[in-house]
Amino acid sequence: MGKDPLQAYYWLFQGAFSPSAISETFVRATPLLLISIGLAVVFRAKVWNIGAEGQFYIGGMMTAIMGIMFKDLPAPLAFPVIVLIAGLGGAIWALIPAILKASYGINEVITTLMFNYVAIYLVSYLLHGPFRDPISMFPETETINPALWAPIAVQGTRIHVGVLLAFVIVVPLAYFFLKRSAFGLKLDILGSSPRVAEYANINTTHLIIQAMLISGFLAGLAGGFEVLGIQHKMRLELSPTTSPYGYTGIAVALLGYLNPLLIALTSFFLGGIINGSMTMHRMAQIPVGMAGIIQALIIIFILTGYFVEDKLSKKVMERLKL
Amino acid sequence: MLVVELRKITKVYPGGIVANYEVDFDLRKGEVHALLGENGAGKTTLMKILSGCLKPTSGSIYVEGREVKFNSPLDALKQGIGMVHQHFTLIPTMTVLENLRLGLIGQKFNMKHTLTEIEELSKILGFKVKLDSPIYALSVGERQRIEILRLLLSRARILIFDEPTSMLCGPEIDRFLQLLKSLSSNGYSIVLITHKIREAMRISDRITIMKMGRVITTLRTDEIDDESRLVELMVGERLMPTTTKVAPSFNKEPLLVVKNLVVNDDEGLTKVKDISFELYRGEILGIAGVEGNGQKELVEAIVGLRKPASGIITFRGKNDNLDGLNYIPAERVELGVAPTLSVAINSVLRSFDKEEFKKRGNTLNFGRINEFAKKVVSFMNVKTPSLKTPVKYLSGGNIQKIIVGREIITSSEILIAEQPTAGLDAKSAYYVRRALSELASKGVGILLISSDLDEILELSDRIAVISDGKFTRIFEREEADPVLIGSYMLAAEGAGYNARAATSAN
Ligand SMILES: Nc1ncnc2c1ncn2[C@@H]1O[C@H](COP(=O)(O)OP(=O)(O)OP(=O)(O)O)[C@@H](O)[C@H]1O
Ligand SMILES: [Mg+2]
Repeated sequence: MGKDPLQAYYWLFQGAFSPSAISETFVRATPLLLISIGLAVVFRAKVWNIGAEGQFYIGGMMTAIMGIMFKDLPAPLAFPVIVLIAGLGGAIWALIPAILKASYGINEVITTLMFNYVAIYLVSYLLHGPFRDPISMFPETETINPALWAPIAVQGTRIHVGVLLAFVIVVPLAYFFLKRSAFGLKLDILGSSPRVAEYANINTTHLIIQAMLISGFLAGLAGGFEVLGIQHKMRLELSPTTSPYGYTGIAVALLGYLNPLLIALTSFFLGGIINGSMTMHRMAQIPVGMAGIIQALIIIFILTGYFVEDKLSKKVMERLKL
Repeated sequence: MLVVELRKITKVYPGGIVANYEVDFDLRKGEVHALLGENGAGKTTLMKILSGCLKPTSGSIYVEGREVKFNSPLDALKQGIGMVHQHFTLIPTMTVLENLRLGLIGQKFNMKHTLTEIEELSKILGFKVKLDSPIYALSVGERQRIEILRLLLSRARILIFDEPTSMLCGPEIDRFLQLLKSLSSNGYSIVLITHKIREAMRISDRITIMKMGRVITTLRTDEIDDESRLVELMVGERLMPTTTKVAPSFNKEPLLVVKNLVVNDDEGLTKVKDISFELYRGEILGIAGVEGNGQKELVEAIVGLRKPASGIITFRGKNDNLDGLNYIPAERVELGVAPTLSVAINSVLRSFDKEEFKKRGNTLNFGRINEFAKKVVSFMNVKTPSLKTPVKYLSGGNIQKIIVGREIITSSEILIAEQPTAGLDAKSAYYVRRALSELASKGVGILLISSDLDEILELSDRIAVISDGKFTRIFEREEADPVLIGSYMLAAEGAGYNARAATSAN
């Protein structure tokens, strides 16, 4: 393309992990983090929720609707109440596929994917119609009353309390929940085999529904944080088009071995790559599409890396033990 | 003539377990070579190496004098070596035909040709094949026959069987051994891994005994005059004669009442046809019968894994109170354990949600869990590198030990024990039988479903004979007699194709 590749990577890195970019990387990583932790919960049980994107959009839309309809909510209450409702919105969006899966064994991959389309068309309708900001050129809502916005946690950055909550509270909580609680163990057993789960006296119907609700809640919460903390309105591009959070979250969850601590690292890294590729696009005039390709390649490289590492470590182990 | 020779085979698993150490083993054309040894001795590992499933760490394999290297089971199959595994490798959700077809991958496939071949082989083997039935709907015995059929279809000449009879009952075992005989006289060479010494004595030409990864000795079967010497070689001690059972001293308090139970299988066929019985406190009620006569469905209904079509199951007078019901399932790996999870977790697989293993909130008390796991491991003498090891890395017998140990130690009122000693070495099987009678003497009601009639006769207070989904008779201990029981096993009309085939073959 006639561009200096080193220059491009320089900007990729600058845009991702340079001191001035770090805070934005945290901001970018937050929706990824929440979504992929939610996915880790269901994936551990081998329930394949592909619907985080839709759940994320529903959460975002609910937030905007709340913010517009209840402009005068008292400030300290607004944030928790609104994001809670965003989470519930996401959870409800996951509920129908969850029931279909748990009670009738209907494949959740298909239903959750379908629900993504429904969610995005629904949001699109609302943004073009009833909730469109009349003075905006774009299909988006009006800006939410600043009094309701998520409080900024680190002055001079866009790091709001949601970012802090995600990294400082949700990650350790999820880790503890998955690794130490009876619920987490039930997920692992169900993931090992549904029949074994029944033998182990686990109510698999309830478990699948609960896990899906948690997963949907976290995706909805991510949408709430994004609207109340960053965008301050609902837009059709709540998720970056080159790397939609709901789908990238699937990769993040798997790359992080379904372990919240590794997922936190992976989200941060991938958040950096997303930001960096945008900087690269701006500064080195690399097309956004190319940036998307680079993101995809990086994910593929990491995945192959894991595979090679797995093989290697086995070889090394065998050698060492001789 | 040696068809196969293994020289100085050593296998070290990742993690450092030496499963085989400088093992020499050979197989002559047309012989049945039995491979004996305690649980975890390394039998399965050695045979997986011969069948290309595992690569040896060092050592060499010769097939008809030529050195070979296997990178996959397919390579071994090309040399005519095939193995029927301890845990079946059929895909449960696929049909019999699909599974058979999978076994032929890498060869030209001609449906018509294959179908006639299946027809011929099943005639020789003496059983009907339900080609379009899914595997999960088949009994353990039926699944095994499909495995054998699959091997023969792919033209294996050297057949390795890993504990093929551990789930079969008397007549079926006879048929199976008969089949081995005719295979070997047709020039097939056979390795038979087994824990049943009598079986090895009856069928084999030579016996190799392994212990702790090494070969102790190889003997010609006709030179062995004393079976107990074999046991001694295997476990290093003579076993005491088995326990003498005392009649239960509890009054007839029913713990489990089954009334007019009708259960269908996955295909909607009625497998349990109006069974009624009571299980009393402190008794062992044995259920004898040919595999596939409704035992599986009966048990699944009682433990709540299958909805009965009609009838009532009551526990201690209360409906559906499954608390205090322990269950040792026949399907170890498929049902009894979560293979990827640790020994510790699997030791509490069915009870981790109880108060005793929890701390405040809903968190698990890993201290207690490990304590309990240690009890299971030491009670059953489970060979495992640690409590954290995923159970899939244990030998078949050691997995079984965890299941049995867990279900015996966890306190209960009722124990449903399906094939509790299958796959266990003589010593462990002895301990399990003893533990079962001790449990009964403490007041636990035990429903014992076993294909091993000797085991049932030894342990049971009453023996129910199941045939074609009905209890054809319930014997009191005193009146029980193997021949009589055998005749009741085949009593009902249409008592199962296998059973009839078995009697006509004798
Ligand atoms: N995949 C594995 N990874 C690590 N260790 C293993 C693996 N499979 C088996 N082992 C170990 O190797 C040893 C031998 O196992 P193997 O399955 O060969 O025993 P076996 O003689 O067939 O016993 P059994 O009678 O119980 O089937 C055991 O100690 C077992 O724990
Ligand atoms: Mg074995």
